[in-house]
Amino acid sequence: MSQLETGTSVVRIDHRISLLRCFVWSLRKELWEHRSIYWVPLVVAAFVVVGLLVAAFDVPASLRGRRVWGDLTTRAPIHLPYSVSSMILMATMILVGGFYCVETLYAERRDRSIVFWKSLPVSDAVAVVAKFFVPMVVLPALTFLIALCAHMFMLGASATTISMSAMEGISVSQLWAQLPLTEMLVALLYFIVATTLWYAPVFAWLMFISVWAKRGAFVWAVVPPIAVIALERIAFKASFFSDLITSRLNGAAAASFSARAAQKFPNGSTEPFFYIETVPDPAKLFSSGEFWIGLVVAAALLIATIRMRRLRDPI
Amino acid sequence: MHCIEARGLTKKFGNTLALNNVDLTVAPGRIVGLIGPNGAGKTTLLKAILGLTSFDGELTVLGRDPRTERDVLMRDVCFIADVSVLPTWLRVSQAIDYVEGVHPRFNRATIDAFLAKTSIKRTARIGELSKGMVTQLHLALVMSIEAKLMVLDEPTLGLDVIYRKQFYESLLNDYHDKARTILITTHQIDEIQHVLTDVMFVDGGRVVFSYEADEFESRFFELSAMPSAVNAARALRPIYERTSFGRSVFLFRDVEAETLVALGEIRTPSVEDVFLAVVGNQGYNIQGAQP
Repeated sequence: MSQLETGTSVVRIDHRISLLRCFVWSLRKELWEHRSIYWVPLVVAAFVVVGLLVAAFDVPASLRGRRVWGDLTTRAPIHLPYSVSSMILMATMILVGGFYCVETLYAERRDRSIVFWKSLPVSDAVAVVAKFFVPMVVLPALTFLIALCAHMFMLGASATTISMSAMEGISVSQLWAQLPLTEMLVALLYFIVATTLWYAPVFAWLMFISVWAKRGAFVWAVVPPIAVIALERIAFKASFFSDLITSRLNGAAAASFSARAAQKFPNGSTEPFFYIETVPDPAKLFSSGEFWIGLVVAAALLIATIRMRRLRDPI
Repeated sequence: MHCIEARGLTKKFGNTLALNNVDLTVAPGRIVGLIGPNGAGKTTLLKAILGLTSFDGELTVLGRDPRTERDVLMRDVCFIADVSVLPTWLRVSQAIDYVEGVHPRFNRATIDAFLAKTSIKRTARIGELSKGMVTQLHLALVMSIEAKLMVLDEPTLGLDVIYRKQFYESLLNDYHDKARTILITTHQIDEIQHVLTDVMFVDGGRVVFSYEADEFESRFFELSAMPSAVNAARALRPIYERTSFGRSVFLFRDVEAETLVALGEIRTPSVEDVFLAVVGNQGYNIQGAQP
């Protein structure tokens, strides 16, 4: 049996695998491993839908109340289920993303699978960026889709309760008139994107801890910031670092929305009605130093994570 | 170009030298067996070659530096460096799809043929498979990658004898078809000695001795000496001596066969005997060994 003879029968598969293809498979693998990425938001969504269903029964009364209470008081109850459900879904998005980040690079070392992943021609950069894609793109997109479905469901349920309602003087068209749907969805999408970008350094920090910690990744992620806060509060009576953390965890809305005075002339009245509305303000977000510093910190932590994964062993 | 070339490879864990200034050259197309006791540094050496650990010294694998170019290197290398590294949550079909997705040299037909010989279900999660089945699956995945260099660290650990035989058979067939380089470690020396073209004994973080399999029969002899010739045999500086059924048995390296024939019966020792003589003699108290 000569080399020549058998050599010709070998089909040489030598196509190169594109970076994009490696990336897509790496991302797919993350979704296989961390099924909570979609299960938790879906379960929360189920509860939200039940809540919305109950809330839908109040819609006829709220609409009717409009005549009595005027625009301001009725707008809130009509809008409330939409904004509350969005907030709950977004909080879920942040929590699931955070837990995923602190777990992912730690889990692959704990179950030793990192050795298997490293036996394949996928660079650490592709692997880490694919993981970062989960909280930065997958979860926000999923959250927006779920919120969109929940809102559509709420609209349908409200329309049904209105048309079944025995109350006089209310109609489905009043509901449409009071809900600026497109505006709401654009604002929601903007808020999701802004919050995600605002949280980028938090996610990157958690991933860095995940690749670095030998045990107790979660504790390592949380304790150092708390220790620094304690130190500055007690020793220096300062709150620089704690303000920084608070604003990072809690300041996404303040950084991306603006409150402004607005006026309306309800029901054709000539008397203006003043109120405060909160509107998306991308200019404010993009001109915020804190926003850009956050992104730079996220990038630096991500690079550190990639470099560290290169020499990481199973735990 | 050499397949693997190392100069002064050194790796410390605390105060322990896992690799002590190792020089190593592996030419393309060889099947090299790394043989050594536990803690000899075999696994560390393999991990350095695969870009899984940092080290001091120079090392090129297929012309690349494994420390910085692991991902590119892995297009031409496949390996099993550790048992049970397949994640339990992964399904068999997903594992195959993933490797096919990211590896340019993966051949699905090969793995289909391999898995057909096992009772592994494709829908099963790896956590549901027995230990042996997981090893079978991992071997099948690795064997389906048409790599230039294949590195196997204790590949058949926990497999039954039938599958082990099958595995080495297909390893050889594959080798002849594709002219690849194979680096393999195992404790079951007798099972792989007929497969190897080169043998390297590793101990204390160094390659203590290496030879080409072809020259084994002309370099090593075991002499069952006649009682009258025992002193003459000792004078020839055997590397090992033991007593078997009342007769002194000596192991010689690089001593002419003609010289030995006069002293008693000679035969070719097993690789295991030579291994014990070269490596085991130094720190181990081997049964039957004379002080």
